[in-house]
Amino acid sequence: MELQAAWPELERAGVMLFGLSYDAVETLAGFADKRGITFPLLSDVGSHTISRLGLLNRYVAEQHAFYGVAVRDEHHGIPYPGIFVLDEHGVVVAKHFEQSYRVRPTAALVREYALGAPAEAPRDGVALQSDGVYIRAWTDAPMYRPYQRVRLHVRLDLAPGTHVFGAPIPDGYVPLRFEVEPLDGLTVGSAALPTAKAFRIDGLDEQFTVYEGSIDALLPMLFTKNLGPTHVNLRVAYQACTSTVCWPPAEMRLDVTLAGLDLIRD
Amino acid sequence: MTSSPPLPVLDFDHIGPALGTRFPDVRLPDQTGRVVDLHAERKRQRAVVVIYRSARW
Repeated sequence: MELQAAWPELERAGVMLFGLSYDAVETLAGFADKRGITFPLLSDVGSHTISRLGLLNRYVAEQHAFYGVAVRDEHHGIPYPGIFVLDEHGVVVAKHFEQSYRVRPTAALVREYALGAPAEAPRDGVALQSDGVYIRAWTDAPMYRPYQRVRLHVRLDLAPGTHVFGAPIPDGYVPLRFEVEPLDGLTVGSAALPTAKAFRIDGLDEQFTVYEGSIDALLPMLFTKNLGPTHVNLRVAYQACTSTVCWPPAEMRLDVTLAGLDLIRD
Repeated sequence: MTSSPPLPVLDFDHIGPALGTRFPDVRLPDQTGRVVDLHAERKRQRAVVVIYRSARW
């Protein structure tokens, strides 16, 4: 279980980890032994606690129909899968759930929710520089599994005095935009970006918004198949200006490579 | 592929324990058979509770 990979860092940060499912103790014992899991896996046979928590999946029939999966007996009692982060007082400070029951969080996502800080840009990942804009892109982990939420992190570092336009923007200017080249078996969500700052240009009536300094964007990705080693091609479009000059709209393409793992075997 | 009705979009803000509320008490056996009281077990530390479908596929 990939969450075991997050465990040492969580433990060092003083964060406890608990799993909860409807599996019997014997099943969990075998699973924990096989995967080297050392944090508690709680056994909620009959899903009574899952139900009391309000997490009983009421849409099993619809979701299974959507995926073309036959509903079996053990599917009644499955929860909405997700994570809760509790503070020192046991109060829920964060929760993360996916719309699809098939999508699972990565260790990186759990770590981020639990420890609060966004991941530091790793030394590996790809980078490009142009027009006072330095762009780095990396994924949560160098590998993916089908139906596991993987985020594409993009960080832009702008030279002092340089800004790029955000959206919305008057016609004729190019806002910061991210696009991943479509791949069969890869779904990419819209980029989560910080809010841009309002900006006026001397002599122009229109309202602009800009980004300065460091910008962190996140693109949620989901592989629905194991495509093997895969290149994710990211296109970043932007227009950079200083107080005295505007460069023409530019585009950088970064290629991030991921290895594919099987859902069950790995 | 035959079309299937769209999946309902779920409002997880209102499903399960809400942000800002104390996570309910949970007392269940773990993989060793020991009964674990979640809040007692974590003492006063922060915790992550992962709800997942099954250890078996």
